[in-house]
Formats: sequence, C-alpha cells, structure tokens
Amino acid sequence: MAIQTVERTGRPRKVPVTFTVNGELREVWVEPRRTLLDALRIDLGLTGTKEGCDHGNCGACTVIVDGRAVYSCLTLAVSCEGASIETVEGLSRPGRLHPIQQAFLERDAFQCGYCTPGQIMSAKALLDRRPDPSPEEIREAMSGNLCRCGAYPRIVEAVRAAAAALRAEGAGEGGARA
Amino acid sequence: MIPRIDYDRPAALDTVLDVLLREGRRARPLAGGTDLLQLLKDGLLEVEHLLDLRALAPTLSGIAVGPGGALRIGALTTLAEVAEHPLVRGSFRALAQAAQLSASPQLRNMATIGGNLLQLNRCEYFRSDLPCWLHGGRSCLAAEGDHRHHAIFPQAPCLAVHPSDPATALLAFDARVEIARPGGAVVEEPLSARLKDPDPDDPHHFHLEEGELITAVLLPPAEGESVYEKAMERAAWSFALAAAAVRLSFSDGGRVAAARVVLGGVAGRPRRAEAAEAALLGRPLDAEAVAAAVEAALEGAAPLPGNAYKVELAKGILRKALQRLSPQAG
Amino acid sequence: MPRIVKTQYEYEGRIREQITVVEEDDLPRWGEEAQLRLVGRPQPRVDGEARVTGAARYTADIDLPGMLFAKVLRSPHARARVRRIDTSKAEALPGVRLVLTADNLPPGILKKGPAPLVKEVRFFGEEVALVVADEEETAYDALRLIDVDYEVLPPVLTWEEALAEGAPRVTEQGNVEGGQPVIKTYGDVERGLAEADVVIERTYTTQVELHNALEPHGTVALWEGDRLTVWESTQSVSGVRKGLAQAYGLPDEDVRVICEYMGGGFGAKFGPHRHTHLAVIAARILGRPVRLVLDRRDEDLATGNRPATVQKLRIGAKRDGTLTAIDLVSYQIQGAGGTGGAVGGPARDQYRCPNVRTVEYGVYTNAGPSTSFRAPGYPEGAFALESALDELAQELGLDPLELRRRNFTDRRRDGKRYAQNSFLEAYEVGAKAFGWSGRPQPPDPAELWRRRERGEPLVVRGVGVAAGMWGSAGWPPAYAWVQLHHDGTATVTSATQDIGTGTKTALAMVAAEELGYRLDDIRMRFGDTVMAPWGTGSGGSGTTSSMAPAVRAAAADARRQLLQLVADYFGVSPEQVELRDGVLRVQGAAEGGGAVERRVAEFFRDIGPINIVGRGGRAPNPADLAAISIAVHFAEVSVDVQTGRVAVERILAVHESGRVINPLTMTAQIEGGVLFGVGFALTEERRLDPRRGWVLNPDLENYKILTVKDAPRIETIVLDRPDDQLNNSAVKGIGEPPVIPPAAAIANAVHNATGLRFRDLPITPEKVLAALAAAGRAAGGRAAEKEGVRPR
Repeated sequence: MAIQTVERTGRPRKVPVTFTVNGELREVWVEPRRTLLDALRIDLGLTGTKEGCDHGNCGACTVIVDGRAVYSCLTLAVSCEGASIETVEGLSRPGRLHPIQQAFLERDAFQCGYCTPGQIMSAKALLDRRPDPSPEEIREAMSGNLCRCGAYPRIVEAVRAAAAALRAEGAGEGGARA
Repeated sequence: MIPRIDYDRPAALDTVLDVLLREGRRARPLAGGTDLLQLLKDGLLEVEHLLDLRALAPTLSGIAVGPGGALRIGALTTLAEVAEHPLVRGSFRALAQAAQLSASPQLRNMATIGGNLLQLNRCEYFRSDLPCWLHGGRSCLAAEGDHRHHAIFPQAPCLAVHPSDPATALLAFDARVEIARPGGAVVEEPLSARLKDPDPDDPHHFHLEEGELITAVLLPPAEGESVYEKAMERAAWSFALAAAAVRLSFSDGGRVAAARVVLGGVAGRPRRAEAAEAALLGRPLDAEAVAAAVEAALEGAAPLPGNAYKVELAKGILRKALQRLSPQAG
Repeated sequence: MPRIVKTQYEYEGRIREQITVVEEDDLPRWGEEAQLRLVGRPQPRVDGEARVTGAARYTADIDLPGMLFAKVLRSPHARARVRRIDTSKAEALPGVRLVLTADNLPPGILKKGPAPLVKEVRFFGEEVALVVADEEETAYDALRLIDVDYEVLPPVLTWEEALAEGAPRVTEQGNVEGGQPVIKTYGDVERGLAEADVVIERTYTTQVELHNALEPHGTVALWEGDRLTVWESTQSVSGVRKGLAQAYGLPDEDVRVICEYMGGGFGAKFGPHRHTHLAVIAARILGRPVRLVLDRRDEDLATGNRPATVQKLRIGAKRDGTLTAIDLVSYQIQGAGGTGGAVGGPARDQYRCPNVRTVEYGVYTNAGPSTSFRAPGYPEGAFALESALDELAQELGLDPLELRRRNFTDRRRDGKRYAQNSFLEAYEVGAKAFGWSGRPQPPDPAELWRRRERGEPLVVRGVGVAAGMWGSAGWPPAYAWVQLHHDGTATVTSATQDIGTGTKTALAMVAAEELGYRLDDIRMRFGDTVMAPWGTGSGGSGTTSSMAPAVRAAAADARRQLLQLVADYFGVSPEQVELRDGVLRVQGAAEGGGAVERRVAEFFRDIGPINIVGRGGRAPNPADLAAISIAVHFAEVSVDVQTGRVAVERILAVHESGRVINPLTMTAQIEGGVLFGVGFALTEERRLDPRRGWVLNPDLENYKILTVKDAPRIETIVLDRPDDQLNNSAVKGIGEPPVIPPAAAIANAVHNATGLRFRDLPITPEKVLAALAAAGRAAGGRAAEKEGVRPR
C-alpha cells in the first residue's frame, strides 16, 4: 500500500471513485477530502441536494446510500466506492412525480423548499423500509431534518399520505411492492 | 472544509494497525466519520491520513450472541443497528434506548459504536477552536465563561463532559472493550478502565495506545431490567444535559438484588454512582430508597453557578429512571 | 394614469411617509360580496414541482463558466485593531487568485458606502479578508494561511456597560442609536399610574435570536463590461438592484439582480450586504464571475439577528380592568450596528389606554449587528405586554380574555381608526374552539417541589392566551405587467420575489381570477429585475398586500384590451364578451344572434401576432384609516417537574388578515410562524462568552431550532374578512403576525401549569428547575432541613 505524506501546498491530487447515482454508474475524480455532497453538487451537477450547515446539523444534504439515509456532508466521496446512491433527482420520472413528492406538493409540506430534497429523501428511506409507519415513527424518522420555515405538521401529513399512496400503488401492482 | 488528506481503504486489519503504529497521530481510522469529519472541517485535529475501515466491515460489524446471552458488538456496528437489534432491545434495553436517543436517524445510520467511544467532547470553546486549556491555553474558558453544558463533578481543569449516550449505558452493563494491538494481539479490558478525562496531549475521552484499534464492545450476560433516561434542550437531536442509565434486578421478595446506576452529562466520564447502588441494594424500590439513591448519586457534586441546575436535573432524570424500573410502573 | 402622491403607511410598527408614483384603478373592490372562482380556494404552489424535485435553482446552485469561489476571513475577537496582516502564504497557494484586505481594496470600484473589510473590528466574526480561488476548498485552505496580528481590546458586551460613563464607543454615533432614546408620549403616564387601583411593575427580558434560514446568504457576481449581474439570495431584488446601482455608480438598467428561488430570509436578506459587495468587487478585479456563499458559521456571526431586549414595564388599571397607564422603557441590545424593531409597538397600539409612554433605546455593543427579524420588536414587545396583562388579570381576579375585551380599541394611537379590528371576534371564536372557560387555577409551586422531591414522575399542564397585532398592510410603489401570449397563456412580471411564502401562487391566482384565465395558464416571472417593473421587497408582511392590487390592476388592464379586440373582431360591444377559465363567450356573435364560444388561444390564432400588455400599480392606502392584522393564540403546555422541560402540546391560532387568497399557503404561514414563536419561547438563544464576546453557538448544533418532534399540534382558525377599505383586493399580511403571540401565550400557560412566572426568555429547564427550587425552599426550607434534605 502506497502511503505518502500529504503535499499541502501543491496542486490537489485527485483520485477516481465509481458509484451508482440514481441507478446510473458514475465515475468522478475527486480529492480525497471532497464530501459526497460536493461531489454530487459540483462534480455531477446534481444540485438538488443542498448544503445547509456542512456539519451534519441540519439534514438538507440527506441522501440515501445503500438503502440508508445519511448526511452527504459528513460522508467522503471516496468512501462511496461501489455504493448505490439515491438523490432527489432520481425520484420523479418525466411528467410524473414520485408519490412522496406529489404528497409534499399537495399538502404544501414546504415553504422555501431548501430543506425539502433532504426531507423527501428521509421520507423515502423510511417508506422503503416501513410502508405503513405510525405518526410517531414518521416523526422519529424525520427528526434529523430541520425545517426553519416550520412545515413540520404538513411534512408528517405528507409522509402519511405518501405511504398510503405507495401502498395503494403496490396493491395495484399485485402487492408486489409490499 | 476539510484540509488536504490522504486516503486509503486497507483490506486487512493488520495493515491498519501497522500504519497507525508507524504514523502515529498523523493517521486516523475512519469509520462513520460523523465526528471525525467535523473535527477536520473545524481544524481541530491535525490528521493527514485517513484509513477507511469500510473494507473491514464484514469482520468488524454486526452483533453476535455468546454464552449465556453475552453480546459481541463489532466496533463498526452502527448506532442504528444497536438500537434496532432485538437482542439489545431485549436484555440490554438501556443500551438500545441510549443508541436510539443519540443524535439523529441519519447520524445513527452512519456513526459506529467504536467511533462513538472515540468522539471528542462538545465543549463550545473547544469546538470553536478558542484558546482553551485543551488547545494549549492557560485555563478552562468554560469554567470562567458559559458552562451550562459542563461537568458538575470536580474535574480539572477541562470541564467538558463525556458526550456519548451509549457509553453511559454500556457502563451499566459492565461492558468491556476488545482492542487489537500491533502485531496481532487482542486485549479485552473493562470499558471503564479505558475511559479518561480529556487533556491537551490527548483530547479524547478514551485511552488508546498508538497502533491500537477498538474492534468490539463486549457485553457480559445481563440480569434484570434496565432503562436510559436523557434530558435534552429540545425533543431530539441533542447531546444530554444529563442522563441516567440504571439496571436493577430484584429478589423474589421485591428487593433490589443488584444495581447499576450511571450518570451521563455530568462529568468527563460517564459516572458510575456506587453510593447510589449501595443505597438501593437490599431494599424495595420505594420512595425512600429512591430518595436515598438520588441523594447519594449526586453526593460530591460541585457545580459552578452556571450549571448548578444540572444537580437538580440529574436528580430528576435519575428519579424518572428509577420510577420506570419500579415493579409498580409495569 | 400615474400620479404622484405623498402617502403614509405603517412598516413594522413605524409610520413612514413617502412621495411615490401610484396608479389608481377603478376596479370594484373584492369585498365580502365578491363572487370569486379561484381566490379563497386552496391551491398547491405553482412552483411546487420545482421545489420538490430539486430542479429549483437557488443562489448556491448557480454555476457559471469560469466562475471563482470566495471565502471570508473573520475576526476571532469581538473588539480589536488589525496591526498587521500577512497574506503572502495565502497568495502563494496554487489556485488562489486574489486576497483582499482593508489595505489593498482597490479604490474607485465601490463608489459609495463603507468598505466591506475592516481593520477596526467591532464584533466577533467581522470581515477582515477575502480569498478568491479556483475551487472552494482552496479558498478555505488559503484562509488558514493568512496571518493577522490583532491588538485585542476589551469589548463592550452588556447594555449597562454600553451606557456607562466613559464606555468605549462601539459605533461612530456612540452607543445609543440616534444618540438618544425614541420617546413617544400620549397623555400623562404618571397621572395614569396615580389613578390606578392596581399597578404592575415588572422587567421582562428576551434573548438574541438568529434567523438561520436554511439557505445561507450568498452572491454570484458577473460583470460584462460595465454591466453587472448579481444572483443574490434576497428578499428584495429591486432593493438590491437600487443599492448596487448607487454603490457602483451605475444606471439601474445596467444592474440585473436575480433570485428565482430563495431558501428563507426572515428579515435578514435585504442587501446588498458586505458579502455582496465583496463578490462584486472581486469579480470586477478578476474579470471573472465570483461566487461567495456564506457557510453556517458566517451566517450566524455576521448576517444579523433579533436583538435582545430588557423591558421595564409599568401598567396601571382600575379594579374593573380599565387600563389607566402603560409605561415602557426598553433597551434593545443591537450589537455593533443595525436597527432594532419597534418594541414599543404593542404597548402603544394594542389596547385603549389614555396615558401611554414608550421610551426605546437602541444600544450598541461589540456583538454581531442586528437586523430586521420576522416582526421586528413585536414578539419581544408582546412577550412583555401580554405577560404583564396576564399578571394584571391574576391580580384583579379577572379572566385574561375579559381584561383584553374591556380594553379593546378601534383606533391606532395617533387617532386613526382601524379599517377593521377583529380582536373581539377572535377572542370569542378562539375561546370557544379551544375550550378556554373553566381553566384551573395555577398550583402552588412549592407543592410541586415537594412532590418532586418525593420522586413523583410529575408532569403538569396549563393553558394560556396572548394576543398580537401587526399594523402593516402593504404600500406603493408596487407595479406589475400582465402580458397575454398567443398560446393562450399569460405572464405576470414584476421585480418582486417569492421567498417561500407562496407569493407567486397567490398572485397567479389573483391574475387568473381577474383575467378569467385558468390558473395553469398563468406564468410567473418574479425574482429578476431585467425588463420588469419595480416590485416590493418581501418584508413587513406586505408582499401580497402590496403586489396583489397591482397584479390585479394589470390583469384587468390586459383583460380590457383583450375584450375590446374580441368585441371589435366580432362586431359586438365589449360588454357582450365574457371570459372565464380561458374561454371567450361572445353574445350575439353567432348567426341568428347566438353566442360563440372560443378558447383564447383559438381566438388569437385567427388574428395573428398580438401585443397585449396590461400595466398595474398599487394605489395608496386610505389617508384616514389604519390597518391591523390580528392574532390570538391559545397555548397548552406540559411541564415535566423532574426535568424542568416545557413542551408545547397544542396551539390554537386565530387570525384575521383581511381577505384570504390561498388558504393552503396562508395556514402554512401561520403554522410556521407559530413554530418560530415556540422556538423563541423555549429553545433559541445566541450565546456569547460573557467576558470576551465570542459567539459560542454559531451552528445548528447548539443554536436550537425546533425539530419535528418539538412541534405541537397546531390548529388554525382564519377569519376570512375582506378588509375592503384598504386596497382593491381587501388583503393584509400574514407572514409576521403568527410569530408575535406564542412566547407570551406559552409563558402564560407555564404560569397556569406551575404557578411560576417566567419573565426571561427562553424558558429553559435550567430556569424552570431554579424557579421551582426557589419556590420550594422559600416555602419549606426549614421543614426540608428537618427531614435531612440539604438545601443547596
């Protein structure tokens, strides 16, 4: 294993990382210090994921990595080699919002919208694992995403509505989804 | 923003240990990264080389059951896994609760139990890189300034409290830590023996020799019922203002047969309150026993003006914990 | 026709006068009887899809070819002088393009206003240097390489220190804003107090609150020749353009400001700010676009805050509750600059009282400068006034609502009648819905303490009420254009913006309603000053009430033009043309005198290109009336006596803000405002080191914004009462009113639950436990000692 001392004043040394983003295999060349958040936003141009604090204290940067909601600001891009990453951009298909997005829209579960991609990804991670969560479970699962505008009551409602819509959709597909 | 670093993802534990030994503090293992990356961003750790432990996850994560219901929790097991695991929720409920009450869902998905023991304190002065004692200053700035979050048990000069919820619960289960050492040796020691107060030379709350790595947390079979109670400044996603992990078992006659009482958020280490345990032993868990235990647990507290409330808060938290374990509480 | 008027309006508790160009309209007002199809029905946001898919582009998402990244070096001292600054190592770092300090800021670029980098530091976090680099990481690396030698000076941190004889001067104008307090006197308060049967004299204090919009402030600056384009996260694109044009000596038309999506402002984003200037100057020097987006720490140190207050309040009343005097002396601790809010507003205007005096000091200290913050001054002022009324009601043995009823006023302090004041209705409706009557008396806190010591897992509950008012309801100038397109859609254009409140949606509804178009056929072009008329800034809860009348007038103008064309085409009179949902119905146009129906787009297809642009401006407010939006909040809290933690279980918010345009977004404003108020009451507090003035929590870890788990059940009752004497749309504002009453309602409920009165925000476990202990010890110190419990 090649261990070298960090050259702190020279040009940055970049390394390749390959991961799947929203089902697509992507390779980026990044400095090892680059966070997943910056790799998504800067290297891949996926600016739907937001930076609110860069310290894992707000949740705006939430994405799903290998099925779990995480803060991309506290994740190194290089650590994600081989990982499967889902961001807000991967949810909707042209002309059709994901049921979670639809529920957020209909219930007005956001105001400024800046925390919304992160909220939606937390909701997705929850509903992927628990299709029929209780309001208490929803509040727990959403408690790592701050909303300064204070849309919380509607966020809880929207996640409930989305869960119902997804279950109905699943039932419509012969229950395969459940 | 993280300063420039080197990064490797070793495939073998031995490689990790070798590099840690060779490079000393310039190298750091990277697990969940939830604290480490914050520290790097804030310029609080001089680290040049990160050793990502991800490739070791198959051996270093997961929860295995041993003889008599003992548990081995791999160091890379996430707090979410600890909180959700049926065996932890069964016999080690206080630990599951402590993990569940830690941080936020995303952080629990990322943070590992080993990393949790190696996190640094949350003192506002330390974290803002102000010239406090840990950063080479003459005195503890919190002691002279705002110490509402700080220790109430004498500890000098740094007043930072241990930030971990799981550590408090682990002490209530007499947890041990498994540590890999350079050259392949593996040692097992009581967690309590490795806990320390932060100092300028090593701001950690956990003593590790160079080249050592925590590989697992070990829980001996646990009797009795346990509970974790935590006071926070808001309903979630906060470090403990005060916390209590309590484990009790009762004799047939309803008397306390064994007791562990540990307070969190009050000192540089989770504080096992042996006097409180003694006050409970052999007595039914009635109002008098609770009162005696609570007084004993806070005996010796020496708060400053700005954190005197923590004495009453810790009492209240401990009362709530004991109340939950009382046979009448169901 | 446009004409010039001198008009008066209230903005955030202060009466302003200005000369402005207005356009009258002769539209029938949307009063109670108006039959409206869209307005008043819930509509999801017209730009919601962009916000839920991540497609919405905020300032930090703007990426231009050749763009460079800037970061600010901030002072680590609250008061200091820069002796020497060495930037050589930073400049030598590969990838660094520019390092600016107060010493090398090129003269002549910024033509007006203070330099955006300082050598005399007045607060922790003040801007000292700027680095511009190829990548954001490099800019941060370079910041760490700048070596600054500071002469550290003792800071002035408290209002007492600031006002003391011989205190160092924090600002050039001294330590009191304007050199003296603002004193307003009506009647004679000393006489009023002498006439009172009961006098309440109390001091209330509130903390510094940080805006913490999740989107930080940020700028992208691009120069093309002498033309400047700035993407700015702002509440006022028109205001920023004006500010930049003045600062750089440019014609307005050569400055373009864009803010299509905005991640929350709450009062702190009315630039241009220092960071705006830094980006603009750097871009000018380098000839390349520069992006400067603040990080959370920058945001919390230097972009403004709600100043702390100390309020000394005396209230006199007769036995029957009639107020005889209100006397308020307030100190707003504003940091190293900025203007505080009108803390005295509620005391002056909310109740009938013949003798009122407010004395308001704006005090400067060595801390981050204050700025407007959602209802500046009012949550603070209402906390004091509405807590004091609760104390007075207790003293008089009166129901707190009854006390408020008895002091209802129908006019503002200056004698102007409120066009509409719905407090009495709100009290009644709210009391009934909440179940107010029969609330229990507060317990004896000493008894709670005794039970606590016995180990009971005790959670007590209580309820409280408080009211709030907000005087602004829009103003001119505010203009809009409505252009009809050949495809049957229409675009509403104005240099105003939607900061997340739903402005675009509400105004699209207004335009669709007036035009007779479907909502789906309305496009909104806001958040860009280019080729757009002046739009109002989003402050003072005045966006909708300023813009809706203008948009409506513009839509009416476009509709008139369209109907005239249609009438001409079919050879009928315009009165014979109807337009609903985008469908024209022309009476008498068919053979035999019947009606022809045609979609607008079909009609246009028949006639070739069109040029229909409606113009609209907002009329002035009525000269003889004042506006008031009102809020009455009922709170239910629980207090854990073991931990001292207060949890808000339920808030019932009753509001009247004139006509409701979009109930879906209006109730969202109320809920969000309530949550701001709950945070103000319980958890939010910027903390300073008491000796050095360091900010200890410039982050979202220790600055505690509520989480979803902290949110109470919130019920809203909106009294939809078109206030049709004010403007053509009969609307007032809703952004700020819901922030005003919660803290007082919660404090009053905590009193009801515990018997303890908290006059110092936030109400933390620490304060609750201390107060309980004090009550317990005062009552039972000796008894406790006998039982062997040592008092601490």
